[in-house]
Amino acid sequence: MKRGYRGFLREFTRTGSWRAISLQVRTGAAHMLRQLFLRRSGDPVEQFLAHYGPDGVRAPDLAARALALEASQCVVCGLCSLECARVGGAPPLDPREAVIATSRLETDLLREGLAGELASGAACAGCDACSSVCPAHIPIARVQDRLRALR
Amino acid sequence: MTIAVVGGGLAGAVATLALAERGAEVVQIAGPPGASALAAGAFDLAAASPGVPWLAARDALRGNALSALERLALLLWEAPSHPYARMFGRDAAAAASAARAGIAALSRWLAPHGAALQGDFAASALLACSPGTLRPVDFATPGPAGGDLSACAEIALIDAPGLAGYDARFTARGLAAELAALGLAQKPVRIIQNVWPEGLLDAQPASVAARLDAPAAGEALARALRGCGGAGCVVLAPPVLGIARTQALVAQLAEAAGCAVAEVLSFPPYALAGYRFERALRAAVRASGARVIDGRVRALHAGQHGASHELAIETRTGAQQLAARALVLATGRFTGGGLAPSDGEVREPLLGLPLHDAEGRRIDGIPAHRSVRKGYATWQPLYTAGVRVDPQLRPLAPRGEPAAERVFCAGELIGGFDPARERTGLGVALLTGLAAAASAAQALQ
Amino acid sequence: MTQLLRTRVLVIGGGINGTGALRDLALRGVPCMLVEKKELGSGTTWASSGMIHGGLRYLQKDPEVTRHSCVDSGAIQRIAPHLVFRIPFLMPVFPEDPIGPEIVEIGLEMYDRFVPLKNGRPHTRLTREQALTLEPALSPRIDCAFTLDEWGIDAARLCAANALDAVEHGASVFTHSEAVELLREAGGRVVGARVRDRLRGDETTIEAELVLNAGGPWGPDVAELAGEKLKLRPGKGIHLVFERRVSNLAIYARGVDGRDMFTFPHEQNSMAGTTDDDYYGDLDKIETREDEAAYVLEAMERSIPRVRDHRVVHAIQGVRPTLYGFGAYEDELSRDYRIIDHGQEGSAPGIWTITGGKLAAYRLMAEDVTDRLCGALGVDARCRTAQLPLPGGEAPLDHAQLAKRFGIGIAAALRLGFRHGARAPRVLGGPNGQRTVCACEPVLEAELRHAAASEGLRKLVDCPLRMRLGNGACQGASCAAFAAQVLADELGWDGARAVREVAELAAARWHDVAPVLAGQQVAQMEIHRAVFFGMIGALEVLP
Repeated sequence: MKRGYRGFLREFTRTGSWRAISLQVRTGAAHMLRQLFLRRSGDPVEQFLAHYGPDGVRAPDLAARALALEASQCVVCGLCSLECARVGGAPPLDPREAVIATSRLETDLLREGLAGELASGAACAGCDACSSVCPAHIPIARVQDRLRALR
Repeated sequence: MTIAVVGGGLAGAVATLALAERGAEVVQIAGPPGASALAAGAFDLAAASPGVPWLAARDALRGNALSALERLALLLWEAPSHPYARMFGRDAAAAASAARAGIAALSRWLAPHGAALQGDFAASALLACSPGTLRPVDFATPGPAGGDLSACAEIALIDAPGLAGYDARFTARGLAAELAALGLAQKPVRIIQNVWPEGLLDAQPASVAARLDAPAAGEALARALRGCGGAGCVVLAPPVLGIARTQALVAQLAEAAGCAVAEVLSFPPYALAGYRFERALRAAVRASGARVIDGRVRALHAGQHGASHELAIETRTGAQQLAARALVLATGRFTGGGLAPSDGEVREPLLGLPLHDAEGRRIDGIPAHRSVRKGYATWQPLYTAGVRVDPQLRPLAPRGEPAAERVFCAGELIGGFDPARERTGLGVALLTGLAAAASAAQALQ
Repeated sequence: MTQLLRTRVLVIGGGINGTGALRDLALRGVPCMLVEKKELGSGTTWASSGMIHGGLRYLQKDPEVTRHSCVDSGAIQRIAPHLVFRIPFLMPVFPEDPIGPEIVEIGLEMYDRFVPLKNGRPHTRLTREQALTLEPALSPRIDCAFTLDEWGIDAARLCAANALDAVEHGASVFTHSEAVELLREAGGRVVGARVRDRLRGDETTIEAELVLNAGGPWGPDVAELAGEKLKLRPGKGIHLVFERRVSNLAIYARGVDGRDMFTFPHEQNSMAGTTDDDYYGDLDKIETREDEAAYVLEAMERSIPRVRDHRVVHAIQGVRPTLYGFGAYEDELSRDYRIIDHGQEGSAPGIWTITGGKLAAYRLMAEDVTDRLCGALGVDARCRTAQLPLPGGEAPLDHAQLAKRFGIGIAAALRLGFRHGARAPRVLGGPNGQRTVCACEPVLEAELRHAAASEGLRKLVDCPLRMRLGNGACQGASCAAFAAQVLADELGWDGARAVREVAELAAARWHDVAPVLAGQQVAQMEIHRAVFFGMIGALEVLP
C-alpha cells in the first residue's frame, strides 16, 4: 500500500488552490475506500477495447506488427506496381498503395467503417511477382492479404 | 573452379557476362533489383566532374563540347579517389580504351534483347526529363535514346490524359524554360492529342506499356501517329513504349511519324527505362549459359590460404550452399543492400569490409547522421562511401592490404564517388564489372 | 509603387493564435487583415504535438484550468470534427517511478470528472499482463498501467481552416508577407504597418486602428518594431517522425531527467517527443541536434524496448513562445498566456501582443484577446467561435460515397476528408483532378489545385504543411516535380520557377531528414538524391 501511495507528499505539496486541495482530498478518500471495500468488476482489457473500438483500435496482432515493420522499409521505388501491371494484375490497391496503406490507414479505415471497401471487387491473385522485385524485401502479397482481411 | 558473382545489377551482370564469355565457370547470385532498376535510362560514363558543375550542358550547346572521353580524362585528374582513377591512375588512354571496349561489349550482350545502348563517344545527346528539364547524356537505353533535342527543329509531345506522373503541357512548359536558359533558340513545342486507341490508356504507365507489347496495339498507335512528325521534328512520349519490345516499337512509331520518337526520361515510381534495362540484363545473363541463383547471400566465409569461399544463400525454395574459388562482389550501395545500416551505423554486411568516403574518412562504425552535412547540394561523405579498392579491384583492409584473397569488387559497392551528384554510376558499374571479371579470372590461373 | 489598404485590426503572425484571433474578429464583423512572413502555421504551430489535450497536469494547481481546457477541447471537436481523431493513451508505471500507482490513479480519477466535457472515456487500470496484451511492445518491467485518451489534430490544417473562415467572413490574409515597419503617428500611436511581399518584392501599406502582435516566438521582434520590449523564454522542442504507426496508442515515456514524453499516433504516423530547452539561436534556422534525437529515443526505449526497430523518417523542430520566468527549469515555466496592451503597459498605444499559451487553448486565447480588442474598438458583438463550425466541419462526410462519385480511391477519399470534411466535394468538383500526385499521403491533383486557387497556397515548399504532400517516406522524390508543375499551372510560374521550387523542397526535406538519418531512410535519401540530381541539370540551383 505504501509503495502504491509513494510520492503522495511530493504531489500534495505541489498542489495549488483550495479547489485543487478539496478535489484531491475527496477523490483520494473515495479511492482508498473503494480499494478497501470494493472488488473491481469487469475486464479492463474488454473495457478498453469497448471504449476505443469505434475509433478503429483493435487488440494488436503480433504477426501484423511484424508485417508492418517490414512494410515500413518501402522506398517508394514503384517496381512492385510496374511488375504487377506487367503480369496483368489489377488488385483494388496496387502493391505500392497497399504497402503504404497498411498500418498507416488501418485505424482510419476501421473507424469510418470502410475496411470492407478493400475486400470488394477483384482480389490480389497472390502471385507475389511484386515481392520478387522489391529492393526492400517486403512480402507484399501478405500485405495485400492482411488488408483484405481487415475488419 | 567456380567464380561466384554476387549481385544482379549492371556491375554484377557485366561481370557474369564477361566471365561466361571467357568460358569461366561462373555462378551469379541475384536478389531483388537495386539501383540499376531505378535508372532513368540515361547512361553516363563521366557526366560532371566534382569541380565542374554541369559544364557539359552549357558547353555542348556552344560547340565547346567536352566529349565523353575528355570528361573521363578530366575526372582521372580531379578525383583521385574515384574508381576510374583507382583503375587507370592518370592514364587517359587506358581509360578510353576500356570505355570503348566496355560499351562495345555491353551492346553485344544487350542487342539480342533489344536493349543495346545508343549514343557515341563523340557527342552527347540532350534528352528531356518528364518535368521538362534537359539532361545531356552520352548513351541511352532504347526508349529515351532517340529524343536528342540539341539539333531538332521542332518538338512534339504526345498527350496522355489521366496518366500518372506525366502531363504533356507540363513537359512543354519546362522545355521552353530550359531551352531559354541554355541559350538555345526557342524551338516550337506542340502537343499531339487523341492518338491513343480505345482501351490502351489508363493511369498506370506500366499497364499501358504492357499493353503496347502486343503487336496489334503497337500498330494501332503507329497508325494514329502517321504523319504527326515532320522534318527535323522529335516526338516525345510518356514512359509507356512497351516493356519487352521497346526498340522495335520505337522504330515502328518513328517510321510512322516520319521522325524520331522517344520517351522522356522518367524517375521512380515510374522508372520504366531502368525496369526494362534490369530485365534485359537478366535475360542476357540467362542466355549466356551462366548459372543464376535467384536469392540473397546470407553469410559469406572468405577462404584463406587457397581455400574456397563459402556462401550461404537463401532462396525462395530454401537454403543453399555454394563454394567458389573466386568472388566478385557487386552488391551495390544502400538501395541494393551492399551497404546496410546496422544499429544506426553503416556496414558492409557480407565481409565487414571497412568503408571510406571520397576523402578517405572511415564511415563504417559511425552513425549515418554524422556522415552527412547541412545543405542539399554539398558533397555528402555518406553518399560517397564504399569499399576502398586497389587497381585490380581487390577490397582493402584498414591498413591498405587486401582484405581477402581472390575477392574483387565492382559497381557502387566501391566507394570514392557519388553516383547521384556526379552521374557516373552506370559507367563505373560497366568498367569495374569488366575489370573485376578480368581480375577474378586471372586469380584462378 | 506601394498599395494602400485600410482595416480596423491588423494581425501580425499567422500561427494558431493569429488565425484564431482573425477568425473571431471576422465572425464579429470587425474588418481585419493578417500578414504572415512565411506560411500559415509554419512556425510553432507546425512543430507542436498536434494534440488538443484536456490539461491533466493542471489538476494539481487549479482544476478550473483543466475544466476550461476540457470544455474547449470539446468545442474544437464540435467545430472541426473532421480534423480531430481520438488518441488512447497508455501510461505505464515502473517500479522506480517517483509517483506510485495509487497516486497516479487518484489523479486520473479526478480527471475522469472532466473528460466527458471533451468526449473522453474514463480511465482504466491494467495489470502488467493486461497492458502487455493491449500493447505487446511495452517494456515487461512495468508494474501496471493506466489508460486515458486525448484528441489529436492536424494543427497546420486547423490554422488554415481558421484563416479560411475568416476570409469567408470578410478578412484578408497575406502569406509570405512580412511587416517590416510599423506606422506611427506623431504622438507615437501605432496606426498600421508597411508590409513587404517576400515573393514579389513589392510593398503594401496597411493602416489599422489596432495592430495585434501574434508573432509567437518572433513576438519580441515585432514588438521591437514598436520600440517595445517583450521578454520571452523561447523553448525549443523537437519531435521524431516515424514512417508509420509504432502503435495506435500513445505511450508515455520518461526521459533520463525525469521528463514526461510520449510516442503518439499523429495522422498516419507516430511521432516521439518532445524536448523543452531554452533557445538562443536563429528562429528562422532551427535545427534538430543529434543529442536531442538521442535523448528522445533513449526515453522511448525505456517504455518500448524495441523502438529503434522502427524507421524514423525525419525530425520536426520549433520554438515555443513561453512566458518569461527567472530561475525555473523549462518544464516548470507557466503555460499560461498573456495579453499586453502596449498603450497601458508600455508606450506604444495601438499595438497589442498575445503570447505564451498552448495549442489546446488557442480558441480561448483568441476569444479573450478579441473581447479586449473589441472593447477598445467599441464593438459590441458576442464570440461565436465555439458555436460556428470551421470550414469542412458543417456535416459528416460519407467517404465511400465521395470515392464512388468522383472515381477516386478510398485512401485518397479518407485523407481528403480529414482535411476538408464536408467541403471535400467542392475540392474535387473541378475538372480532371483525380490524378494522384503524392502517393505516400495520398494527395490528388484536385486538392493541390484547390489549395492554390482558393486557399492562398503560394509555394511548393508549403505543401507538406497544407496537405502533407512530400511528408512520407520518399520526402518528395516521387511527387515534387509533378506537384510543382500543377502549381505552375495554377499560379502562372514559368518552367524555371518550377525548377527552383522543386530544388527548394528537396533542400527543405533534407534539412529535416539529415540530423536523424538512419536505417532505411539512408537508402531512401540515396534514391531522393539520384532523382533530384538526375532531373535538375544546374546543380547551382539546389540550395
